[in-house]
Amino acid sequence: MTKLWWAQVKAVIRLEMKKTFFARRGLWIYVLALLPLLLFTAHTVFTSRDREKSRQIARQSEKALTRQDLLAVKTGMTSEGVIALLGKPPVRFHWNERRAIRVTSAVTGTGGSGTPVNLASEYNLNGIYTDSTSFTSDGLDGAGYVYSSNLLTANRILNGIQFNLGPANQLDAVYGTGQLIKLPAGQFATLRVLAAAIYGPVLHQTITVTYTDSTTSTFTQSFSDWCGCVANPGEQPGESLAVMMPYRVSRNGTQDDQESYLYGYTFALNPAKTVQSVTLPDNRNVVLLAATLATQSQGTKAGPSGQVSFADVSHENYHYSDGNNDLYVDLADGKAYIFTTRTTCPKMPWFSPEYSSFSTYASRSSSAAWESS
Amino acid sequence: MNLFRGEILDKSLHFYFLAPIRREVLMVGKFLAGLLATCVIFVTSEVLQIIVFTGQFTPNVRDLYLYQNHGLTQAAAYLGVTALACLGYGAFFLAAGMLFRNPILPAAAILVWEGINPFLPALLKKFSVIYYLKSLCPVDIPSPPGTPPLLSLLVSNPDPISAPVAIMGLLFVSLLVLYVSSFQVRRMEINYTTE
Repeated sequence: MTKLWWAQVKAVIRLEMKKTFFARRGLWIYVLALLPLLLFTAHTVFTSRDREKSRQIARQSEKALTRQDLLAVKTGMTSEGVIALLGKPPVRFHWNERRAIRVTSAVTGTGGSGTPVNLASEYNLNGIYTDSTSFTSDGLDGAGYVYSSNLLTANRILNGIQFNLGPANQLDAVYGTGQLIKLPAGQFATLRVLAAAIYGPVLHQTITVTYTDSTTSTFTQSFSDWCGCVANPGEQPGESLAVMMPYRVSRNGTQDDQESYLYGYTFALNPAKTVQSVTLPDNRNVVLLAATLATQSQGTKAGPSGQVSFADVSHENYHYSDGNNDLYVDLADGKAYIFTTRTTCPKMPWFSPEYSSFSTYASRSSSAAWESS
Repeated sequence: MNLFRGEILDKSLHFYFLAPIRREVLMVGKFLAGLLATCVIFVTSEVLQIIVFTGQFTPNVRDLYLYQNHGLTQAAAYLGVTALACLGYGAFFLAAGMLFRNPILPAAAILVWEGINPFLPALLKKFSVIYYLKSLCPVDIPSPPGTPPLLSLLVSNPDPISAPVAIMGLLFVSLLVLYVSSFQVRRMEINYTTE
């Protein structure tokens, strides 16, 4: 019986094979099987092309380089030092970086005009710390970074208007929860605030000023990010760069090398009405540090305004190769940065204990990764 | 999936059912034919992938890997894993094609279940084909420093089982599914007008 069954199975297989291989419904099986092959082919083509380029560059080098030669180049070396080690670069190119070089910030000190709003009862955020002070709070941005009180100081005057900032190392900033902040009674022409956004620009936020007769003035304002790591600071309409600082303070008290910004905003009030309160946006990513009410005559005198000047900083890049490993050196400010390294002939990870990554390291800090590879 | 479902759509399954042959035998024959075809297609693809991948290296490096660093053994292991994948998934898809009028939905459910396998608790992971297949892969892919934990989970199997257990497990599950399917094929009725 088993013999008969087996013969029948073989007969069915014979009948089915043609149908299975050439069935239109089975086309997707072929596509599924071919997809990884296409990926491998594309990878091989690109890798081979890169390796050929690397070999070409290696051939153009003044002297034959080894991987050890490339590893000898360290961040911080001078252009002459790099050339002395590796010879004249076979490939070199220039590019310009747009960099902020001069900032006219709000001046420090007291003596400005206006009626500062007391935000003390509203502080809900630790946004300012003195340098070298470690802290356990989440900081301004929730990730442990804050403004430096050494840079920001306690008082600033922007366009003649006085701003009083909160006390460092304690609750000193207000993030938006839609809260209502009481304003000093009086008739004012403008409400000026120093504020910023965190985690990227925050767009189209509503701020409402309520007068004693229960009428309101509503403003829609976008806020730029406080950190220099985000492109185009201070580009939102109605926003001016009030204070630009070269660094932030991190949780362990050290100076982070990211620039930080604080912006000024002006909201025109109805000067015929008496202000009562201001309602902030209901958004955790909008942070307010100071607010001042000003009359018509205040804030019109010429004074420092938040302006930033940019200049092109020249970068020179060298590209070396030993045929298998590429080294890109960026020279700027008289120093070398190893900003990209790449192994064009990757060792298979299971092939050798000395594992070299396929990936391209694309940051200046990658030199450590390169050196440890 | 189309072994039986395709025949129903083509209105040709009754030719098989009218033949003097046990339905279980028919099912086994169809399954083996499908398994053979998918193995040929996917194993061929795998062989070509290995050839293309090793082709990017210089002959010296390639020979060193293939003949002195277990390259051939690893290539053979991958081919075996591919064949076992055809067996495991084939059994499940055959069952899906017989149990459901529209087998696309259960097939999609199986693929989703297999896809989320790395994120499942240890016990649930074992109710999948991919868990056993990953245990059989000869190379543990290293996660470079800085790889997001979720991505690391996708590429590595933190709790693999031994190769014999994985192979026996896959064979056992496939046979179990085929056994269950054999009951279904015996009860199967054809009514083309309702399709």
